[in-house]
Amino acid sequence: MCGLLCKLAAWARKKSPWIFHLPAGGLCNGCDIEIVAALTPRYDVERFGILLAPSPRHADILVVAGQVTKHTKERLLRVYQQVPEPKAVVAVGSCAISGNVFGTENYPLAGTVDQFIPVDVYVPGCPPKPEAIILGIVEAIKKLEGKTRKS
Amino acid sequence: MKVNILKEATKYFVKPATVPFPAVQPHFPKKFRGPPRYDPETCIGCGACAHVCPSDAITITIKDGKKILEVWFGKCTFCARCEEACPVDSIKLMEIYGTPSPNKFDFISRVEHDMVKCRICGKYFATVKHVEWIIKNVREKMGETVSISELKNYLMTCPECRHKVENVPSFRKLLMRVLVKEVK
Repeated sequence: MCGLLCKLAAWARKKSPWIFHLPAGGLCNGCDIEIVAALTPRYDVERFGILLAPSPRHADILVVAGQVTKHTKERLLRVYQQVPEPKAVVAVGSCAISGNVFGTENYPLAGTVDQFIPVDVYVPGCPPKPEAIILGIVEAIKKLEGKTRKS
Repeated sequence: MKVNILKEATKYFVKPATVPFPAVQPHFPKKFRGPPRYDPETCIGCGACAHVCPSDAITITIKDGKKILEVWFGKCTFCARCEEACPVDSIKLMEIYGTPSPNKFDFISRVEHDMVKCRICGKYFATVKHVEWIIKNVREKMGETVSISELKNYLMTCPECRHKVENVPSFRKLLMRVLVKEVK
């Protein structure tokens, strides 16, 4: 419908995706530290145009670390709804993928991330190297392109 | 003042702190613990790795006379306990980072083993390679005290049946000989 403007927006999204970093609760914060390390000058993701967004309303990619607890479940869903379409989700770390040592039948835990929101890319590691996180976000950009074409 | 200017000027010759990542391979520190992988040639399928795994990332499934060991490093803590426990150094934590993937079951390394049937009750209970490994080790330590046929006779019986037929003279003789040798 919007033609040229939409094309421009899609191009801008591909060249500079904004990420929102969300620790989902049940984790040791190791993955959070590695995500933050990926934003430091040593890895400098800004040379790929990747920026940390201050609010989920500004973000294109949601980077979730850790397992979902009963308390953060509502917040996770709310943050996911706030991210505008098209959006992609990257699950970082073993906890986000399967629960790791915390298991899936632990009393404060509600489940893994993919039980509540659709996850596009999984990054394995405990914690993953910043390089792996960068590659995961790059993979998510490819997914975003596909979603843009569909919409 | 001038010193500051000089300092700024020398920065021109300093390399940037940023690692040109996709162009060069990342730096791995000493004893880096990456995703665990099985070596299917050396693995004997004893299951020691699955026994010690704190997060149950390693699973054993016995199906149709096959023992399948799977390590899913999507659930791994990279503690290297499996590497410590492995008697043949088959499972190793590689010096690589886990490549991201849209399918979470891509992060699996697996090995398959043929199993041995118990000669009394006909139940599958151990892998062929495991039995061979035990025979090799016992022969190394005991020398000619124990014959291979005798050992095979003993090892091809499952633990439950072994308890039932403990009073079988041939088994008892074998055990006694091994114990006496050890004491000496």
